[in-house]
Amino acid sequence: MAEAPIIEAHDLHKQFKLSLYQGSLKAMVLSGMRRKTRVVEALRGLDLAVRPGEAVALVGRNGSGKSTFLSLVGRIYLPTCGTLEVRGRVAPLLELGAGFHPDLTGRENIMLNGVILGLTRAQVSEREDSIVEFAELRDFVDAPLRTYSSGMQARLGFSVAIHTDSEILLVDEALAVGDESFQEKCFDRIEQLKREWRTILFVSHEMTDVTRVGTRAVWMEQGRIRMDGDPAEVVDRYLADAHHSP
Amino acid sequence: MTLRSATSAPRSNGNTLAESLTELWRYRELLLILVQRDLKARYKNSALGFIWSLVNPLVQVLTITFAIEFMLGSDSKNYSAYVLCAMLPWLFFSTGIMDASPSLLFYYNLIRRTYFPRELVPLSFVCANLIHFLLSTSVFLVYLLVLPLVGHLQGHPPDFPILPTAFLLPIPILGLVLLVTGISLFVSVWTLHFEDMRYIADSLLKVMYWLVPVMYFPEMIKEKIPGPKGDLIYNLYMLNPLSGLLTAFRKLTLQPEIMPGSRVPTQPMGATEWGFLAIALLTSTLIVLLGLRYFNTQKWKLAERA
Repeated sequence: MAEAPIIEAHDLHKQFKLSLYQGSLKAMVLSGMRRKTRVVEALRGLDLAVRPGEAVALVGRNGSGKSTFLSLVGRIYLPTCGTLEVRGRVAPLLELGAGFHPDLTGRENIMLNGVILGLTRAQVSEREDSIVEFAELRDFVDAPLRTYSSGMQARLGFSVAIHTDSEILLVDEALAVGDESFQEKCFDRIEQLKREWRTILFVSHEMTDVTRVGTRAVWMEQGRIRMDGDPAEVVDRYLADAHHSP
Repeated sequence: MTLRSATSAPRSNGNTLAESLTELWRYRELLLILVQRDLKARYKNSALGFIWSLVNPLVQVLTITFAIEFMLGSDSKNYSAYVLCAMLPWLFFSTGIMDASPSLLFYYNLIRRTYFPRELVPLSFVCANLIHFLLSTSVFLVYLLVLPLVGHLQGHPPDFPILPTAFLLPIPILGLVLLVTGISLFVSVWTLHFEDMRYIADSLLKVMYWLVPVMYFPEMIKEKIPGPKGDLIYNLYMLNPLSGLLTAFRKLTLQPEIMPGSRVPTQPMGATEWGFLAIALLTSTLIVLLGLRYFNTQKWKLAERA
């Protein structure tokens, strides 16, 4: 493990200022133009180094900062303070369905996402067949995304992400998507990615996924790391804790 | 392995202007795709897609010309050409801003889940409208060239309304692109925070329509209000960068014209008009620089909209 970390976070903090106006001028005027904001501390000094080829599972309760950390690695937000270095391209699967546009067709979304994730247009065209094939969406590729079921969207998102050349795959919530046979296909592909020395960072509440896919597990609590180590051990302690403090 | 470091200094609000321009260049393929998508959506649903978007301003201009020439009575030969010549850039200005305004909302799903330079979203709508504007302007210029030839075939002496200075049109076009881009960068962010902004922008544009020379000739101001007071109002009017640009569009393209309801011809593109064009270019450059700077301070907060 002499290789430099591909993701390196030092004393990482992230605060969100939640505005209570919710995008409405009316609400703002009615509240008398006072700035009503609430500060939420999602990350409070996170230190973590992930090396190439690791599959790191993030576990923890809702609001412990797992998704925020993934979004920071995916450059959706800027850290409030601390440093975060990401030394590779990132393919994010944040929440369901990646960054798809509901009004565009499957094919248009593949192109849009492929290029956002750093492929050239020629590369996306080349891989399009294989992406559609893996997602099993041949008959729907020219229909707008809003006509897709959530399972279909998730399959397409997963398929696009694994067909990019990104060194890092971020997965929030749904590691293996679709029905059971499709899930097996996802797990096979994840194993392949691990053999290709790609780095996977995923959030999961499925403890079987954590032990099956993870080479390492990180238990997060209130924006910090509570435990970091072997997936089986982390899961045991985490579950024991969850039972003791409801 | 390709390395792309995303180091972010503590409390850094974004990148410098140079960094963000480099980043835009790296994502140029994405800009191309966004522009393509917008043009396709615009022209997709009808075989005559582009033709329709030409017919609309044309019908508008013909109706107005008809009304003015018949109701006011006019000696102008090319009033409709004069109106259309400013109408096309005006439509680029107003449609560009109105399209860019909700653009960040339109792509919000992507903004929340993936990284790419956020500027590309409003810019793509400006670019799509620019392409549309260049197409319609080309059609307009060809029309100005062909029409006198048709008259010539029928035995009239050819009288070209178009001036050779039309080759200088790229100058006001550049100014207009800078102006529209700058305003779009501001308005798109504001619309994301306050969706009402879209309606405010729409109303302001309706007022602006009458504050710039589209339907009338700015020289009328001097004629109506003589003396130094009229000169002052005229000068203030022309300091609006859009007025300076639209005036340049007309005077570079078309021969001086007799104003409706008067016998006085408009002034040709003289030193004063070039001066106003230069001021408009400077103002537009300033607006686009301010717009980019503002967007840079805001872009990392876009995804944090609660």
